[in-house]
Amino acid sequence: MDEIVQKIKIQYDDLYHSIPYTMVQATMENKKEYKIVFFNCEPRYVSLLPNQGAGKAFSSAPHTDLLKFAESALREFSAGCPLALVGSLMRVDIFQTKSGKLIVNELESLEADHHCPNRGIKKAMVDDEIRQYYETLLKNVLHQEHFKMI
Amino acid sequence: MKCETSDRKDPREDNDEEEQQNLISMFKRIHKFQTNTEIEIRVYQGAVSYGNQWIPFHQALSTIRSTSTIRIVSLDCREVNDNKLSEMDIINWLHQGDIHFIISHIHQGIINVNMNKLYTSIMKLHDHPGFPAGNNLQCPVFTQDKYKYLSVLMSKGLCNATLKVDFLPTMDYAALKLELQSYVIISYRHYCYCVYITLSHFYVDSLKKTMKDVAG
Repeated sequence: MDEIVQKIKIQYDDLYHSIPYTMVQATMENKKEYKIVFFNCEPRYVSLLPNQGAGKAFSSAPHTDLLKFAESALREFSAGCPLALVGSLMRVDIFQTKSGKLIVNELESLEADHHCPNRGIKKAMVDDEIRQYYETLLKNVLHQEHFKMI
Repeated sequence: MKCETSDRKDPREDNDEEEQQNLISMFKRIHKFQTNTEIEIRVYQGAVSYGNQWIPFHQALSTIRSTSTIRIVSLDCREVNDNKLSEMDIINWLHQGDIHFIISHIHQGIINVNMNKLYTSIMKLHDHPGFPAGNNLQCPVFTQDKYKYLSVLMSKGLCNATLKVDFLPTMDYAALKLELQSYVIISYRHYCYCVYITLSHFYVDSLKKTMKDVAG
């Protein structure tokens, strides 16, 4: 316990002026993590990243239960946090506890790596959806009252 | 790239100046409406090597460019560091354009950033045309406030139990130790076998110990 407190002390001394808090979290026995790529709250595919933790697989294609869990987690997050930006690219990273329960490790949006198996076709489709999303945003902003002449 | 710098100063120092800037910005937009001159979009792109949003964003821009008179100016974290821009300088830079777009997490890659100051300052863009704007500027995934978004999921049992340790001006480490003890005991019972400390917003710093060892 003293070792953890000591670690926090070091973090505090180094970073008090930069960040508002630190966290302590139990980590997983099984390091396997699945990263589910979403667009507009709809699951698109399970991403494959080079740095994905090795461990015991707990899902296999077509990952029905995994996608269902990730979708419901993102829906709950969106409902519990109405100001959240979930309309474009999102990634939900999932672990499994030792009792077999699925849990969310992390949510990512703007900087979500979303490499994809199958020669990247699904990734290209998501990238095109992101392009359309930005195109709509840009058009909407340019059509606001003060830019109407354009 | 055009990057305007200003002297570092506390964002709370001068509210009048901020109001004046808002008025100037609004006047500039009305003027462009009347004269149909070029619209400037200021983009915070984050990393020097382009992030995940860069290509789709620029593809979208190229479509818009063919129908509108717009100019794109971008800023990345290297320019922020090289020019020693403060948190408020970045936000002012975005605000001084006609439209802002933030396509990366602003704090990433910036040296000596103060997260509180940055994400308080960002609210200046609340009513400025662009993305994100309004209350979306406080989206905890956008600001990478990990505890804030995990706490939404935690209440539904959808993520691991997490202990938040606030960095206060004075820390009570004896009280923290007690809090940690109860956290570790609960986590050991319900979750898994070791503990790590994760430093929100920047990186994960792990300290692997069995829960049993830690609980002592």
